[in-house]
Amino acid sequence: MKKYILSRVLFALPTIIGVFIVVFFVVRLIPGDPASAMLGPKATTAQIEQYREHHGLNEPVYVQFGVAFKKFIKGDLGQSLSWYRPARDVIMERLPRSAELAFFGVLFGTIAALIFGVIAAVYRGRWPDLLLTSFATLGMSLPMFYIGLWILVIFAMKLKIIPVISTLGGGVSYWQSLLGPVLALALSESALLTRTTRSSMLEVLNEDYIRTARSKGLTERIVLFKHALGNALIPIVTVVGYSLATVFGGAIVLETVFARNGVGKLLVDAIHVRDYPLVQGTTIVIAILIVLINIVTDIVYGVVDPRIRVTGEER
Amino acid sequence: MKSMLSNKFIVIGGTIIVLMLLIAIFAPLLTPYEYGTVNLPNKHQPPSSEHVMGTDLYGRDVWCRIVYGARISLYVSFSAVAIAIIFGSFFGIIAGYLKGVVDIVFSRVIDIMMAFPPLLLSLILGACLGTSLQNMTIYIGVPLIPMFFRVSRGVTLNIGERTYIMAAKSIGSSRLRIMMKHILPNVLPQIFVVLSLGMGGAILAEAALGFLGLGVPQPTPSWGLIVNEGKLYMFSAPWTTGFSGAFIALTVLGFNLLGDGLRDFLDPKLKHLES
Repeated sequence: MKKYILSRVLFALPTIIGVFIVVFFVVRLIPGDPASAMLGPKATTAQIEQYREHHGLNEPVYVQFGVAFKKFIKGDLGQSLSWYRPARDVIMERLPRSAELAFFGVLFGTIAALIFGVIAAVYRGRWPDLLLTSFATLGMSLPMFYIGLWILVIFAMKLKIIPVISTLGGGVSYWQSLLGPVLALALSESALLTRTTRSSMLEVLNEDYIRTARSKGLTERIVLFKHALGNALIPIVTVVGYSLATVFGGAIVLETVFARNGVGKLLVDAIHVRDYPLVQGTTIVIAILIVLINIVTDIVYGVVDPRIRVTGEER
Repeated sequence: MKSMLSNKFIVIGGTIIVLMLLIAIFAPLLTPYEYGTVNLPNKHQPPSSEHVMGTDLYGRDVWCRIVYGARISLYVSFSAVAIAIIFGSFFGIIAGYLKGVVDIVFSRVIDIMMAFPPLLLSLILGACLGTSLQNMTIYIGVPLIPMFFRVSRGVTLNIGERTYIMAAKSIGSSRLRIMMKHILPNVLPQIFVVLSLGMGGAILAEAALGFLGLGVPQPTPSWGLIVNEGKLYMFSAPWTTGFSGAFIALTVLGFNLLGDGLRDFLDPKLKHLES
């Protein structure tokens, strides 16, 4: 098991370095000179030249890359142009807001999907199945911001139980600030997973050991949740891992809908004000998080299905 | 063909998409007003017999804008998916057929791309390239490349060792010929399934980028832009964003159903589980 975890981590290192290289060069494609952006329209040519010299912007690109890479390894992501502070500090302040949204969204989405998926599989072809699969198919087609906006209309305007702006303070409790975006995320995330759970369960329910378990006289609940769901978990883990990784895309949109100060909204704001170091930093942090989540997903596979651990093959 | 029409997902999904295409093609015949005519005294009118879907913040007819928006959104999505198919399947087939170092290098690049959520990749590419209609097809298309790469590579790996490929090799067919003549026809049906799901993803991406204010520039109406213009008035005049969002969802639903149906159709093994 230790060897397996180590191999997963070593496998991820080139990806993380690749991510840094891609982001470094892509951000340099953004039109406009960072020096004049930083100093503003009133800066003189001499000031701009001095700034360029001081920040190494006159060096060849490969030298700049070397400097930036050394800083990156030390955990330095450069200075934010719009916050006048190290980009890392700004990102780390915002990260918990996104992490809790992602965590609770995927957690509640998964719980709902497991329940819905098992019910749909058990009542296959009858109305609970049709109802749940229809909702799931519809849920996969709804844009995330659309779900979010309607939640805002219903819960903030009509029912007045959540704030329109989901920042903490001003009489807004922790859970109130989370309710809207978590609900939107969970609804959206549960759609695909409900279908995965259903088809995985249907596949397993045909197996001989389920018939054996039933004929032994075990209760239906134990057969369903222990024997069937336990064996149906592998494809489900794949999709949960996948949603944890894509959830940051959803967070970008939902944090904008609910005006929540997470990294997603930070990134969108940074793009609008052309704060390149912050765009670069936020993107790298999110991408690295996803690589780490994928490592954890791979390790969970190894736990759920010991065969994978031996061969070291994915899926 | 007959059995294809007996699949209800293909029929429902296909009908929705054909309807949307007809709406886009015959836009001028379906709209009583110009999509760009500003009529400020008439702003934020709720749906009525004159304006079936109400008017937006500049008094423009929402139905007209949605109908013309279908043209832009479908055009952007089709072009984006075309880019993704060309690059994804080209590199996927090469990686799957040549294997070895080529496969390792290509697959690593795809791994790196997949470390970014698709929307994030679109956002930073959009920030670099600038928002124009042409650029938008690129930055919506690029994040879809891994999807097509993986499918083409998988199918190619699977059939690369079959006897008829070996036979083609032994009679001295060139690599290019084998890839074009023998492998591509096997990859295409799978591409078709992914194409449908990819179209859904592209439409959602256009909408999300538009919502974030990084979509098609004014004044061309795209669904993403209409959603964005209406979002601040969601409490007082929800029809602008409400109706445009519903059109987005319906179109994506159509592509998803079609994709599901095609997958069942091409892979009957799974059929008993899904229906």
